[in-house]
Amino acid sequence: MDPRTFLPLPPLDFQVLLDLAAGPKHAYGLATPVEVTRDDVRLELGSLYRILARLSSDGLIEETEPRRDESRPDARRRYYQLTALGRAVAGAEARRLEGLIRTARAQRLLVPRRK
Amino acid sequence: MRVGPLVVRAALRAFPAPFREKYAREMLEDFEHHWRNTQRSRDRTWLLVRTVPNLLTSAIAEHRRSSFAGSAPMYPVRREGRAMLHLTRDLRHAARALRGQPLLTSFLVMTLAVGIGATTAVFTVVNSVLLEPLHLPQSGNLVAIWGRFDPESGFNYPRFVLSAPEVVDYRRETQTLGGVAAWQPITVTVRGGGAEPDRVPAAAVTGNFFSLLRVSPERGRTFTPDEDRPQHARVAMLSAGYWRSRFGADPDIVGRTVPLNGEETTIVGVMPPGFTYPSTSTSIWIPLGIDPASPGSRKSHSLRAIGRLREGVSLQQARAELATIMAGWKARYPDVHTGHYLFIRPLLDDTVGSVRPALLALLVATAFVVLIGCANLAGVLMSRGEGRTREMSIRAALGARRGELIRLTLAEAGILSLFGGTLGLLLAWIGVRGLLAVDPSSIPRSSEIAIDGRVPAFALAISMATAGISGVLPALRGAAAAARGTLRESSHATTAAGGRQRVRRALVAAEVALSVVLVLGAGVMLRGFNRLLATDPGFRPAGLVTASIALPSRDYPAAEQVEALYSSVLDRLRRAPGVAAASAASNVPLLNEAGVWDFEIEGRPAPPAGEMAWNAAAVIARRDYARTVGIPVERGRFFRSQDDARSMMVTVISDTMAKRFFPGRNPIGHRIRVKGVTAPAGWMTIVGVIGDVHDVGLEAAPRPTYYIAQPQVPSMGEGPYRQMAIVIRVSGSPDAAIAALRSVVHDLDPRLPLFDIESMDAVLDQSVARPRFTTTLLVVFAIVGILLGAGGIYGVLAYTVATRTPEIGIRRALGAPATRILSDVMRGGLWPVCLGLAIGLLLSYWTSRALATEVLGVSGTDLTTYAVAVLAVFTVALVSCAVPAARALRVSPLAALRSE
Repeated sequence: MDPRTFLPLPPLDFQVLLDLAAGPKHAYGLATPVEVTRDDVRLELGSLYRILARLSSDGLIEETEPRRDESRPDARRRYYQLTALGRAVAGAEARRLEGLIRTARAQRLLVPRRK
Repeated sequence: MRVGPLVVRAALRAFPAPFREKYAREMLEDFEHHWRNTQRSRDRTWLLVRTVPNLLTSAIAEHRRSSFAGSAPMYPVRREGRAMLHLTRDLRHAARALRGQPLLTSFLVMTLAVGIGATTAVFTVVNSVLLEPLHLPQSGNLVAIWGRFDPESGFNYPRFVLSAPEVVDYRRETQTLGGVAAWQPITVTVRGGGAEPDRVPAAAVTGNFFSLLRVSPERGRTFTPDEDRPQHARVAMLSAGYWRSRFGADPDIVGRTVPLNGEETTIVGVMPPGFTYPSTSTSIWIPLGIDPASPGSRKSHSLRAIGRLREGVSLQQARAELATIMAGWKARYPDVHTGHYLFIRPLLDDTVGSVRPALLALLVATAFVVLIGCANLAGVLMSRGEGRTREMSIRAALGARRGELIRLTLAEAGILSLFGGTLGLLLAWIGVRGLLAVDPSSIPRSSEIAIDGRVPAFALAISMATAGISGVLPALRGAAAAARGTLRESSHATTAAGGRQRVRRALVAAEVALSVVLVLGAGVMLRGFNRLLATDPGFRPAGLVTASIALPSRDYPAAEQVEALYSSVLDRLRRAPGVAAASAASNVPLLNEAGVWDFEIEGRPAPPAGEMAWNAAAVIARRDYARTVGIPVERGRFFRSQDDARSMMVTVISDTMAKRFFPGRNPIGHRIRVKGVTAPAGWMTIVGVIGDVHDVGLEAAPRPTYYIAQPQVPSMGEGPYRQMAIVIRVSGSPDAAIAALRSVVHDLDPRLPLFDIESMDAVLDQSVARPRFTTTLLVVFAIVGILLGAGGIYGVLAYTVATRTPEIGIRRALGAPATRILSDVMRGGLWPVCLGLAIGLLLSYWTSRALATEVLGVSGTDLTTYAVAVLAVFTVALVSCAVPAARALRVSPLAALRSE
């Protein structure tokens, strides 16, 4: 399947894919970093699970066994990881965004942030 | 606290079953995890507020997705434009459907308008009175400072004014407050300006009063520290309103001298318009003149005080500091500060705290009315939805998605609610004026009540909530029915499907329960209020009028002069036509509260420290006072003209005082003495016992009271008592009696103004203004609620009967007796009614009790109120059931079969 049929990705879907690119996570683990460390968009409970359901049924992510090296593996939680397709879609989205950013630079919309 | 997970568990049920089965357990666990990690209740509320709506919208979205799963691409293409297209199309559909039934539509809109209007009107009051900050600069960090006497101190006053040393010490010791200002409400006589003498409300304030409030004068200046010293030349400031009304906005007013209380006083400034603190009628401010070096007795309490929290200091910090200061005072002055200490609270609370329970009760009552309206709307939408099952099924068969069907019903609810809300806002606008017309004076800050931006926002929010609450259930049910492809059911079923019956019964039960709570609440209030009105005030207010005069010490320096003036005013007045009796007293019941004075009883040791001190309200009165006001003399006699400065000191005590201090004994002949009066002639012989008077309020128990003869006061060692309320028992018109008093006073001294002119009927009336306001509104809301509820019950039952028409027709055709069918239908209708009654009674058990004690200040509820309320709701419900049931009987078998 051509990853580009999924583009453009909704931003929250993209966030979830990015978070999973680092390795398998369970839903709670996905909600927490998004909520705590990013000042962009909050991922609420209902939205998060809808996204997980949608990405699963689209074949972008899949459920997995918990990773062994997790310090306190919580067996009751479902873990998710990217599928090959998911990784490809995330990459395609990133390239698409990169293209957009390039255009934005060319239009002088992106001035370096003053520290 | 388990509320959050419970709410989320309920919200999760909104998801489609397959989604729920797969994810619900984990979602709940995740939420519980978040919940546990959130400690503060405010954050928890916020978590819930964020999560639940998100769950509900996600659930609706998921329904939409799952409805076409398998037939279309899994991944929905979302475009803003299309959503808008859906919305306008849905609204158009809904509007068309509603226009088709103008009668029903207008009934529903009116129902909602009444509920939303009442709620919005009450919210307007709540918003302006309780939520808006006071109209003072940076009022948020102003605090009121009060004293408190616990029984340990020998007194029991939860809120008491301060003494000057307390104010001075607190001001010096506090680090958390940026300042402490004190004041004392007074009234002053103003002469000059070519007009009649005037007696106006004023405040004696400390020098920092205005700077603490951060208000600068419009003209001139405020008081200098020098002027805030005793014995300083007299200065005053005017309110803008008084400057205008009394001095014609004289531009040269600053620097002019005006006789205040007979003393030439220099006007140093005029405050800006709108500033009248501490009371709305304050016209003049004069310096209080406390000398910080020798502020006077620590035990003489007469000052109100306010402070301002320093920037960045919390109320808790200030309270903690105050506790430390109090510990220091207790160590330094153990005789004063044992069981007696200061406390602070936000000034806004202090101003409006007393009215808060009443307003919140009203807000809850209106919320109930709105909920009944919601139940009505839900019932109708459901019935309509079922009537349109065929339409929905066809739409579904033609490819309409579940979500679209849901949206259609929600759009209807939304349109109705918005119309209802708009009309409601209009009603609220009228209603607020109505509320203020009922009684403006019983609510603090009532002059500030206005519709601001928050009010329409509130009305909109209520409307949306109404649409949501009443639309969701019918929408989901309707869509579910359509999705099942119920083309079959609608053509052949003769009885309504069980699930929908249950929902409908639940709606009826809910309406009944809400009505019961409303009606019982109103009933409790009404009964309590009537009991309040039926309370014997202890005097006869009808035909009793009063007006006060005050003799300035400059014009009347000697006790004999004061005595001569009062005695000639009363002598002349008694001879005037239309005057049946006349007398005078320092304090009139319900109008101005008499101070409490400690006393000693001859031959008894004073109560030891730690026990309650002997004290009672002390009223200075003249002969004939009891007869004029209508207080019965129970033993002995009241004052006579012989009780003067030369004769033996006498006192008359109230029944409660006799029972408390002379239980089982005849108090007559015993002698008491005002504590601290050491003059040998200070012992007063009790010569009579008179009836109790509800002097501070009908809801409050009569206070023990003793009466002291005005002509004898100088013999106590006190100065003459100069300000007295003249009381007149009229035989003709009250106005004529006041006119007679005015001319008598004018003849004797034209410089003396009459003030506080009142008829005691009006005073009594005013004393119950607030409970009357609350009760009136609650009764109105209860009537509206029960009528709306009746409409809803009728609607639901009528619909049930209508759906049962074929069944009834067949049974009739087969020969079932009419009574059997009637009882069947009635039973079906009354069963949820009874359930609702039971639930309502259960809820009322707490609500009505809280209402009675918190709002009205009376305790308990009685069986009669319960019985009457239940009977009323039941009767209304019975009628609402009987009409459709009777219609069922008239169903002819032929028509029933034809309706197939």
